[in-house]
Parts: sequence; structure tokens; C-alpha cells
Amino acid sequence: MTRLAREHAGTQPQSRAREEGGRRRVRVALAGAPNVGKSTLFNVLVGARRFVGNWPGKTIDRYEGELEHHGVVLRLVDLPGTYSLSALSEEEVIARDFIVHEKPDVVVVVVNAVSLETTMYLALQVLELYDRVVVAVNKMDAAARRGLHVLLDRMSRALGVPVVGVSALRGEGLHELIESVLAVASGAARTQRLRLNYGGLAHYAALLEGELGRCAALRDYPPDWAAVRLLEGDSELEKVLAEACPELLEKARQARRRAEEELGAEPALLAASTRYAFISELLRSCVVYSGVARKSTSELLDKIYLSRLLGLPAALTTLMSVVVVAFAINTGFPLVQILEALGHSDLAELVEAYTLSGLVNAALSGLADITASTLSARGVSPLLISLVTEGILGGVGAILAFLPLIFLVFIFFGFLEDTGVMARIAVASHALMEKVRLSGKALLPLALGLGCNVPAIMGTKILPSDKEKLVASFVAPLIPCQARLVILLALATALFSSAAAALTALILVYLVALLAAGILTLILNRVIPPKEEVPELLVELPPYHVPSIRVIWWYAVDNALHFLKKAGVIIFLLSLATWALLRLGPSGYVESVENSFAYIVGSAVAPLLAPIGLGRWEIALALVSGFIAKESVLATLIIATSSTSAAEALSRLALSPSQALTLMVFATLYMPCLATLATFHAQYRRPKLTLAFVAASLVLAYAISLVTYIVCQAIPVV
Amino acid sequence: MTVDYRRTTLELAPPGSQVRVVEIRHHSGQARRLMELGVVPGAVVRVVSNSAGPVVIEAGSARFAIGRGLARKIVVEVVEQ
Ligand SMILES: Nc1nc2c(ncn2[C@@H]2O[C@H](COP(=O)(O)OP(=O)(O)O)[C@@H](O)[C@H]2O)c(=O)[nH]1
Repeated sequence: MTRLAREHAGTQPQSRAREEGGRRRVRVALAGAPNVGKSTLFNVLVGARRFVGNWPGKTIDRYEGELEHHGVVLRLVDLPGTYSLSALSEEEVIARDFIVHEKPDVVVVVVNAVSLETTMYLALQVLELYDRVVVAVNKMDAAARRGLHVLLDRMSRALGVPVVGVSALRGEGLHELIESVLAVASGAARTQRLRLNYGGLAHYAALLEGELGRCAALRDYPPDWAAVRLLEGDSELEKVLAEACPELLEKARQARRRAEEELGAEPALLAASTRYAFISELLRSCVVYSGVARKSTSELLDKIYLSRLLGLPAALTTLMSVVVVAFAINTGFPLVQILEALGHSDLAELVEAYTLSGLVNAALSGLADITASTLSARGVSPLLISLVTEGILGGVGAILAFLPLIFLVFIFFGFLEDTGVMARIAVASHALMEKVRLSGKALLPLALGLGCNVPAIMGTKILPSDKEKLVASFVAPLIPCQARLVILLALATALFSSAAAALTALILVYLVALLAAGILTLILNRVIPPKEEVPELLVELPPYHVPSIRVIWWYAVDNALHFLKKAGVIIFLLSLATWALLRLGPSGYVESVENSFAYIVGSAVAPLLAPIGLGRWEIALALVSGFIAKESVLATLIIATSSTSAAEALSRLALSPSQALTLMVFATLYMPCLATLATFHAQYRRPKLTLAFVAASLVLAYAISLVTYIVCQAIPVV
Repeated sequence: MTVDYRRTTLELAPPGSQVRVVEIRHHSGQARRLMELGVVPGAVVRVVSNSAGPVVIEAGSARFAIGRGLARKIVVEVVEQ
């Protein structure tokens, strides 16, 4: 018997799903406003396995049905369609009583994507009443045709439960819906009851809530929920009180009268408007309308992207232009290099200063300087100053330095996705990616990797199978990100005298990295089960949309925040640890790296690097510090060789061209940087997997550098 | 039993034709996804394009691209050229 639970660390296994005859059973109630497509959904889910009965003592039909999913039997009860759970009608009483007293393992609330304003009210009521809920947004097909986007992830975060888009009519999204239901039933997906802020009413509700605890007849109801309901004048709850705890009924009525007098409005009205305010705020941030592209434009674009000859070039050109624009905004590449080549180095410097990373770096180093001088003016010890300015601010900086780039990459990714171009790129590149046994969809996250490996790993979520997600995440750090482009540029220009040689070296390193990525993909596909799995392409081609700035903005913000939340702490701690390595030594705080633990590590590692021609402690040390962010490789090389520029540092090391090329290759491939590692770990949460991730990149980097070194030495030209 | 000459796989269905799905000879997550998308035995879909890359079909108002490997396993009969 397999369990779905315990996927997430720290989850309280709250499985209530029972086992009968060796099979797990999950009881699911389907709730929804009338006309949301609930019956359609019920019928497509259970097919012929449905039974009609009666609700006990009522005249309304009770539909039940069963479906089986991977050995788990889901027993569905179709609750009557109602607009609310106020218990004003027989249907509402049935629906509410079922949830409260039968406590199903999961309640699926169906809402209509095309009229969320009206259908969300019921969902909200269910969410306030019950914790194990999944929201199914139905009629997504109709919404897409009208250019409506529903941001499901965002809605899910706002509501605290899974939100799944489905189309009952077309049978779409059912698989994901069932998976979400099972995840909630088993406790693998943590959900919580929604608590709204009722403003002035909250005070009266809190007072009443304390009293309600004394009435045993109410124990099935969440007390805070019951309190608000009683203030609104809920006749069902009043009936319960009248029978079981008459003295409380009087208290409740008094509280309602007081609230009404003191707030100057009927509590029922206040409560309803709180709920509607919540809904309109929710929809304002989760639903966007944008126009659908004209048919002729769509046809033309599809003719290009889906054509046999033009498809792949068009897809690659689109991706590359997006990547280059992101590069230019972030570091000025290739604008800065072009200006320099044309002899306008002052202009190049100016451009560089106003790039995203230029601005962030300036702000961070400015802050560090001010802090350092303030602290030293107060006579704080150098250890503490270094801890604050380099360790703590450095750690914060490590996170902040990544944020703009991650944000930027997601803006572009969101743009491609929102316009519908992304799906076409996946189709066009499928034949290419199939060669390394990945699907066309995998090209997108990997292309993001050229900008930054963090969004690349986060982007693997879109891939259809678990295996493909894992393979792509493993390979992503081999794609040279922009930070590495910066190092490579510096190394290449410092190490090779002619621009042509430098450019050749640069291109060579990119090719080697791509080759390494290809090799690793093939190897992983052989070792990760299921081994025979071949990626099959199945992509929906949504209508081309005029991109909505808001959707893209939210997409980027949500992802950037996700990165901060998940990986922020790990990055901070790891960079503190690296600071300790560089600034502490056997004798305590050290000013020069040569007395630090890092030096000890560097010297210990150096002999290992000798076979690839890099057996120098300065280089080893630089590589160790490059873990924080690959940019640090250069900075450390400069410090370790007591030079003032990268060129000087490299000339002091007197590397031969073959050593230089090997250094470029190794620096590119070795060890995913801290942020990438943190993201990977946050995504999979399996320490062994994270270790394998590091080991794979180290082994591969070493092997390929070794080959590079040997080959370079054998070729007399280099 | 006569051989139905109109019966073929989606991979070989001519572009522009309407085909009825007869059988899906594939058991995987993607085959299940196909069914969820409405490509089920009995459904009639239109082949939008079918050259070298994935086969593009239209089912209802939605378009999908299906890789050739998967398309090979979808048995269809041509309803209308
Ligand atoms: N476009 C679209 N229409 C749907 C979908 N699901 C249901 N409908 C239509 O919505 C209407 C109401 O569906 P029904 O199942 O009777 O709703 P119920 O009242 O919630 O049970 C019917 O006309 C359905 O055909 C869907 O996914 N997409």
C-alpha cells in the first residue's frame, strides 16, 4: 500500500482516508453554485459507476458515484447546487450539514471561470467552514476563448488550498484535480481553513466565540465560524442552541443587537460585504482579461512556427532574442563589448553602470562602505565589522543580486507563455530535444538557464513527467548562466591576446558546456527509472494572446517571491559559511586570505587540480569562493594574487593557453552556485539527491576539463 | 472481414482531413492526457497540419500538437478528406 503522504517536510500526516478490503477509500463531496458544470464534472468523473438515492428525510435526489485512481477508490457525493451555505433553503441545509457532520475527506468546490464573481461566494463559504478543500475552476475552455486568464497558482496561495483549472465538458484537468484531491486527503498538500478579517464585527465574534465553547452540541462547527454566523442570525444554528443551550441563544441574540447598535449596520450585511470585498480583491489580483489575437495573425504565426523548415530556426531565434535582451538589461552584454570594440570605452562604462546588476552592485557596495565606516568609527572590532559588512550584508547581497535577474528572466518567460508563443517553441524544438530524450518543452527552462540557472530549475515544473523534471533540473546548471558569461569574458580577454582568439575560446566553452549537458542528459535518461520512458510530445496550442502586462508582472513577482521564500534562508546561511571560511583561520579572524581556512582548503584541493593543469592554491581558492556566486571567482583571484585587475592576476599566474581554456571550462561546469543549489534542494527536498547533484557536476566538470587539457596540449596551435 | 482502407494512424492522416479516433494503443501519462483533452475513441478531430514535426489537430475549438511517436499509436479512420 503506497501512501501519498509525507512528501513535504513538516507536514502533519492528517490522513483520514480509510482502508477497506485493503484498498484506500477517499470520500469526496462536490459542492458548487448552480450551473457551474458540477453535474457535468460529476458525470465525467464517475461515468457509469453512479447511484441515485435520496437525502435522508428529504425529497432531493442524492447522487453518488465512484472512481478508481491508482488503486485508490474515490467515493463522490454530489451535493445540491447552492449559492450559499446560509441554510436558508433545503438544499443549503443538506450541503452544509453534510460537510459539517459527515466531514468528508475532501470537499471539491466547483466555480465557473467565466463568472467567478458570482460563483466564488459559495467557495468562500466552504473555505471558511472547512479546511480540506480543493477549488476546481471549471469552464477554463470558455474562459480561454474569451481571453480570460485565471492565475491558478496565485489564487491557490490566496485561498490556502489547491486550485485546479478544469474543463468538465472537454475532460481537461481531471487528472490534476484527482491528484490534488488525493494530496489533500492524505495530508501531502497542507491546507487550512480560510479566516477573513471581519473588521468591527470580529470583536463581537471573538466575545461570542469564547461562550460557544460551553455548548457541546456545537462541537462539529468551527467556533469562530459559528460565532460570525450567529451574529448574522443563522436560523439553523439558533435552532441547535434553542434545543441544547437556550441560555447561549439569548447571549447570541444580545451580541447581535449590540453589534448592530454599535456598528450602525446589520451584522449580516457587514459579513456579506466583507466576503464580497475579499472576492473582488481576489479576482482583481487573479483574473485578467486580454484580447485574443486576430485569426489571420494566428494563422501566419502558426505557419512559421509549425513549419518543417522555419519552425526550429524561428523558435531558436525567438528564444535567443529574448535571452539577449535580458542579458543587455542585466549586464549590458553585448552592448558594452561592442562599444568597447569600437573604442568608446567611457560610453561602455557608463552603460555598464546603469545596467540592472551595475545598479544593484553599486547600491550594495555603497551600503557596505557606509556600514563599515560607521562601525569602525565606533571602535567595533574588525571581526564584527567583517561579519556585518561581508558576512551578513554579503549574504543579503547574494540573495538580492540574484533577485533582479530572476525577476527579469521570469518577465520574459511570462511574456512567451502569455502570448502563446511558448507552446509553439516547444513544438518546433521537439525534434531537436528528442535526440537527447527530452521533450520540446524542456528547451524552455534550459534556455532560461542561459540567463540564470535558478529560474531554469524552477521552470522544470512545467515538464510532463517526474523523470523529465529531474533530468532537466540536473542538467540545468551546466548551461553557462550570465554570471559565468561575465567571468568567461574577463578570462578570455585577459588570457588571449587577440580578440579573435578570445571569441573563439568563448564559443568553444559554450559548445563544450552544451555538449556536456547533452551527455549528462543521455546518461541520466539511462539511469533514472523508468528507463524505457520516451518523452512524448503533447502540447495544447492556445490561441495567441495579446500579452497582458499584469499577468506577466504577477507571474514574475510570484516566482521571485517563491524563490526568496524557498531558497533565501539557505543562500544566506551558505554565504555566511563561505564568509567564515574566507575570513576565519586557525588563529581566529584573519585579514589576509593566506591565513584562512579557505587557504587550507584551497591548498588541499590544489593537488587534485594538478592533472587538469590548474594545481595552484590561488585558483583552488577562487573556485571555492565561486560557490557563492560565480562572479566571485575573479574577485578572489585578484585578491589572492595581490593584483588590482583580472588581467594582472592572470598574468601573474602565467597560465598557458591550454591551461587558460581549461580554467574557463572548469569554472563554467564545476559546482552549481549556491542559489542554484538552494533552489534545487528546495524543489526536491531530498538531501541525497542534492548531494548527487553536486557530485555529478563536479565529476563531469573534472572529466571534461581533463579531456580539454589533454586535447589542447596535443594540438600545437593552442 | 474486409480491410478498411480508410483506417490508418494519426501519423499518416492527411492534413486537412477529418478523422475519427478508433483506438489509442498507448498506456502512459500522455495517453491519459490525450483522453482528457477529448481525443477519445469515437471523437472526430481535424488534422490541421502534418508534415515533418508534430501532428497538429483540432478537437472542438482547441488545438494540440502531438508528437509523431504518440501519433503513430493513435488509430484513426478518415471520415472526410
Ligand atoms: N464551455 C464549457 N461549458 C461547460 C463545461 N462544463 C459544463 N458546461 C456547461 O455548463 C452548463 C451547466 O452544466 P451543468 O453540469 O448542468 O451544471 P450544474 O448546474 O453545476 O450541475 C451546461 O450547459 C454544460 O454544458 C466546461 O467545462 N466548459
